[in-house]
Amino acid sequence: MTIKRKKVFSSLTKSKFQESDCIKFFCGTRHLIFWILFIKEEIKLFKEKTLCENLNKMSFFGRFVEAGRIVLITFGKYADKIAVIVDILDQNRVLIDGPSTVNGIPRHVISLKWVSLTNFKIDIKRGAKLDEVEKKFKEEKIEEQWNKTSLAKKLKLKDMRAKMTDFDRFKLGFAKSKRKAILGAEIKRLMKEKK
Amino acid sequence: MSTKITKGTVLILLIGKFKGKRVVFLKQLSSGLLLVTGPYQVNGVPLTRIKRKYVIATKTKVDIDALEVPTTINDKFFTPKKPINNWEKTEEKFFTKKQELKKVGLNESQQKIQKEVDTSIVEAIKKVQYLKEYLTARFVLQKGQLPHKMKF
Repeated sequence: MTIKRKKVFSSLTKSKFQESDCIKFFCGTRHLIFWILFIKEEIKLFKEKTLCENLNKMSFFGRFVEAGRIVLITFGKYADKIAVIVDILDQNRVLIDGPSTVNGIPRHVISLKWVSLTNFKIDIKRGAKLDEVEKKFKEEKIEEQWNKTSLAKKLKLKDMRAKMTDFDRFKLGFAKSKRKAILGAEIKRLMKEKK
Repeated sequence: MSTKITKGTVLILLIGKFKGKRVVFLKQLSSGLLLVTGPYQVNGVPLTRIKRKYVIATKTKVDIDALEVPTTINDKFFTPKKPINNWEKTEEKFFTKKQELKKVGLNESQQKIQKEVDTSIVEAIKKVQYLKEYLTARFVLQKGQLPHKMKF
């Protein structure tokens, strides 16, 4: 049964579908109705596939889970760092690499839930080795490009704020109060002038 | 991981009269208590002892490695002096005024020791910008600040 199904589907993908094709593969009149229904289902799926491809061409979606896509890791040990997708395991998991010589992020499997796609991409093949990934990563200057983005800057600020010591916090508050005093005096002066 | 307390570490006192004050750590006494000083000129905290438990150690350090704390400052220095037997009946008591008896604070000899220790610390503090203002100010928790999430 399954072998016959594959043959039918391949005929659909290869050339223009002809209703006569299905009859070649079925063996008895009592199975005829079943087969016709089955083929109609396959046609429907085929049409859906091409619709999807058309959508991609119209680029409603710009960021794909693919080998070479730069991702931002949002949870776990390597949170707020970028890595490269090297291979795709299944619907939910991908194999990523720092590259480890650049980032310190080793090649490991991560769930797509822990990751968010970025606009950046490098041209590598599935399962590319570390030196190739590293080479392309440095060529494209991904890290520089990423650091320019506003999200990267925000994450850096967030990190800095979390690392502030008691003295740093004091200096920040002290500077803010000084600034407030200067601004306040200036505003007061301007208000007086207005009157 | 708790911060290691070494000579010159700035500590935040959590209990007592000087709670919230940031002080400079000098040494650990034989009783296990920590010897600290304001310095007195900067924030009004004299040489005092405090338990490690009632203190937050910060990562800020004052450079006083060259300072040698005099050995006369030990646990005995802080224990109250034993009153003379029959103080009430002595001549001395008869002539000291009530106000003098109630006098609180460091006596002359204590003040001398305080200054001896503090001068080099104050010099070291002046070298770092804003450190004096930092030690003068009290530590306060603002709204939205969570101590378990803060780094000291």
